[in-house]
Amino acid sequence: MKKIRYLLILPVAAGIFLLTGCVRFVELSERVIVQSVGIDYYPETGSYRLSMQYFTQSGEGGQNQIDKTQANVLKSVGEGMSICDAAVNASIKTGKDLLFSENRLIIIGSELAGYDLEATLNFFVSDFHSHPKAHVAVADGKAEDIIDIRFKEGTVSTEKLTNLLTNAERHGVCPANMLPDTLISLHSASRSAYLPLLKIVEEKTDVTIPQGGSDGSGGSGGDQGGGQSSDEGMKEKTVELVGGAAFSDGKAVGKGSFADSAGIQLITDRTHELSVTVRTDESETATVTLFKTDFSAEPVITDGKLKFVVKGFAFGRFEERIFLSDTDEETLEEITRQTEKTVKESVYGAVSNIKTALGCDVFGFENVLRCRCPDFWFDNEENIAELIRLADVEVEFSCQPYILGLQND
Amino acid sequence: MNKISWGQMTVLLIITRISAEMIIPGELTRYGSDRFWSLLAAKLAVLMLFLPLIFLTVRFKGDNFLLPAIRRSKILGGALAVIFVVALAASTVETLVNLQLYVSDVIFDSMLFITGAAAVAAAAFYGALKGFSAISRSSIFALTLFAVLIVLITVTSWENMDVTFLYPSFIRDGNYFMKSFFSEISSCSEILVFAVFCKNIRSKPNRSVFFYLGAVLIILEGLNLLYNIILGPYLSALEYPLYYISSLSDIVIFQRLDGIDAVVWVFCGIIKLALLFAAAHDILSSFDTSPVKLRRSIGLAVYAASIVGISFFIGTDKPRLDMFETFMHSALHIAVAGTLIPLIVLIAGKKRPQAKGEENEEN
Repeated sequence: MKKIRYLLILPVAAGIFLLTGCVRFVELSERVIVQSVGIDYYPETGSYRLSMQYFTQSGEGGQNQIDKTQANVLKSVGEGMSICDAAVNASIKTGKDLLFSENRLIIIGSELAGYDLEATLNFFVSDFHSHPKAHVAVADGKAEDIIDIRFKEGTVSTEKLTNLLTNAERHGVCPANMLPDTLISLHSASRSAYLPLLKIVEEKTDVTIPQGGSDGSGGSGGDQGGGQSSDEGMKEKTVELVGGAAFSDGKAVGKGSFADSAGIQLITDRTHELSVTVRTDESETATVTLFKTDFSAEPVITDGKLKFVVKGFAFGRFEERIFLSDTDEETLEEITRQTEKTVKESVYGAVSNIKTALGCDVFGFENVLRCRCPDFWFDNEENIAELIRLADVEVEFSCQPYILGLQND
Repeated sequence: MNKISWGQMTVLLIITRISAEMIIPGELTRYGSDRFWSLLAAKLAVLMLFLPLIFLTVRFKGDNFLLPAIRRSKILGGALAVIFVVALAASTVETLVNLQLYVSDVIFDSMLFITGAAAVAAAAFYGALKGFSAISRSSIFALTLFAVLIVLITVTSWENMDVTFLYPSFIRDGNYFMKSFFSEISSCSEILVFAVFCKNIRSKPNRSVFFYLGAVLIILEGLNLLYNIILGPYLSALEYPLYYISSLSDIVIFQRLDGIDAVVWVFCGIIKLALLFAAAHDILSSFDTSPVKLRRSIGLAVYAASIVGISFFIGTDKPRLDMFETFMHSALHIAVAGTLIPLIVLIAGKKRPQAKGEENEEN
C-alpha cells in the first residue's frame, strides 16, 4: 500500500514542477514597479492621463541597482477614457506589466480634484494588489509636472515626497492622509477629505536631478517641464508643500493654509509636535514646541442648536533655553498665554475656513456626534452635514510649558 | 470508529462557521450596530435549531442520527437521508463556489473556475479520505493560525482604530436586519456536520454546541467590532473587510498581512469542505455495508466530482449564482436538514433493540 502511495506522489510532484510552465507568468524585470502615480484629467477631451514614476531593474550602471541618477527610475505615461484605460495604455506603451503593490504616492491633478475623488481612488481599491498604504496628495497644477521632478535623496525619488508629507505631519503642519484614511473620510455625510497640497516652486537648492543631462544622468522619460538644470546660482524646480486641499461632497472646494492644516491636525488629535513662535516684545520672539497634545471634541445641544466644545491640553518646551533662563516669571506666563492664544486662533481659523466656509468636516465632528448624541443624529440624519457646518465651535486650550531642567510653576 | 472529544468537535464547528465569514455578501457588510444585533439574534435562533439534535443525542445516545428512523422504516430513513444529502450537497456547492470566488478575487484573478474548484475539491477529498479525526486535528491547527492572524491584525492596526466610530443604537434597518439574520443562519452548515458526527464524540456531545455557539458569537462580534472601529462608514463599501484590514498592516516586520489572511481563510475553507465531504461519505457508507473500502472511496470521488461539476454550472453564470444564493440565504436547507429531519427522527425514531447481555446488565 505504501508503494502505491509513493507511486501516486510521483505524478503529483512532477505536475508541480512541470506544469508551472503552462501558466502565464511575468518576470520581475518585465514589470513596471510603480513608485508614484500622478493622475490628470483633461475635460476638453474627456481623457485621463496617468503618469508614473517607476523603478526598473534593467537600468543598471550605477553604484548599486537602485541608483536614481541612472536610468532605473523612469517615467511612464498613458492616456485613456478612464483611469484603468490610461493604465492599460501606459502598459502597452511601456511594453511591461504595471505593478502597483509598491506604489507609495498618489497625486491628483488640480483639474481632476474638481471631480468625484472617490471615483478616482476606487481604481486603487478595486485592484487588490495595489498598496493600500499609499499617500494621497493634490497637485496645485498638473500632477504629471510633480512626477517629472526627480530627487537625489531617498532610495527612490518618490521617497523624498513621502518623507516630505510624513515629516509635515510629524511637525503638526499638515495631516498626511493615506488612501484608507481618505476613503473613510469620504464616507462621512459631507463626503469630506483634506489632502496635502503640493506645488512646484523655483528655489536655489540642489535637491533635484537635472533631466537629460549631458553626463548621462537623469531620467529618460518626460519632457513635460519637470526638474530643471541646477547650475551654480541657478534656480531649480522643486516641490513644496503649500497647505491642503479641502474636499466637500467628494470634490475639491478650496485650499487651506498651514495654520488651517495645523488646526485640523490638532482637533483630530494627530499632532505629535507643533512649534509655535510668539513675540515677547517688539524685537524678541520665543518658540514653544507643543508635545503630548490631547484634544477631544464634545457635542453640546442646547434648544436644538448644535455646538462643539473642543478641549485641548499640551505640554510645551521652550526652545531658546539660554534666552529664557534669565527671563522673569511674568514673561514666561505671557509667552504661555500667547501660545495658547495662537493655538486657539489656529483651531478657530481651521473651523471657520474649512468647516463653516467650505462645508468640509474633516474634524471628526460627525463621528463624535453620532457616538455621543445618537438620538440627535438619527433625528437629523438627512441634513446632518449642514447642521455640522453651521454648528458653533468653542475652543478651550491650555498648555504647560517648561524649560528643560528647570521647574516653571 | 474514530472518536474525538467534545472540545475537538467545538473547534471543528468553529472553523466550519468562521470559514463562511470570509465571504460576507457585499450587501451585508454594513457599518453600524444592526449587524451586532443580527449576529446575537441569529446565534439564539441557531441554538433553537440545534435543540432537536441535542434531544436526539440524549435519546439515541451514540447512534447514527438517521439510524432510529431507518429502524422504524427503511423508506422513511431512506427519504430522510436523501433530503439530508441534498441539503448537504447544496451547502458543499455553496462553500466551494464561495471559496473559488474568493480565491479568484484576491489571489489568482486569472484562474479558471474549474481549475480552482477542482484543486480545492481534490484537497478536501483527500482530507475526507483521511477521516474525521484527521480533519479535526487539522482544524486545531487552523484555529491556532486564525487566532495568531487576528492578534497580528489587531496589534498592527492599533493606530488605525477609532472608537468614535462606534455608537449606541438598536436595530435601525429592519430589512437589513432580517437579511443579515437569515444569512447568518444559512451560514450555519455546521449543524449538518454536527448531526452526522455527533455519534463520534466520546462524551457530552451537547457541550460542544454550547461552547461553539458562545465562542462563535464572541469571534463574530469581535470581528464586526474590529471592522467598525477601523473602517467606520467605509465598511459598507467593502466586500472583504478582513482582507482589506489585514492589507493595512504596516509595522516593521508585519507589513501587508493580506497574503497570510488569504492562506488562513482558504485553509479554513478546505477543512470545512473536507468535513462536508466526510459527512456525505459517512451517510453513504451507512447504506453500504460492504467491507470493501475502495468502493466507498470511489463513491466519494464520484460525489466530489459531481459537486465540482454543479459548482461550475452554478458559479460561472451570474443569474444562476444569484438565484442559488437567494435560495441558500433563505436558510431553508438548514431548517429542513438541521432541524426538521432530527425532529422527525426524534418523534418517529425507534430505539436500538437491547442485546440480551445488556438486558441482564440492566436487570
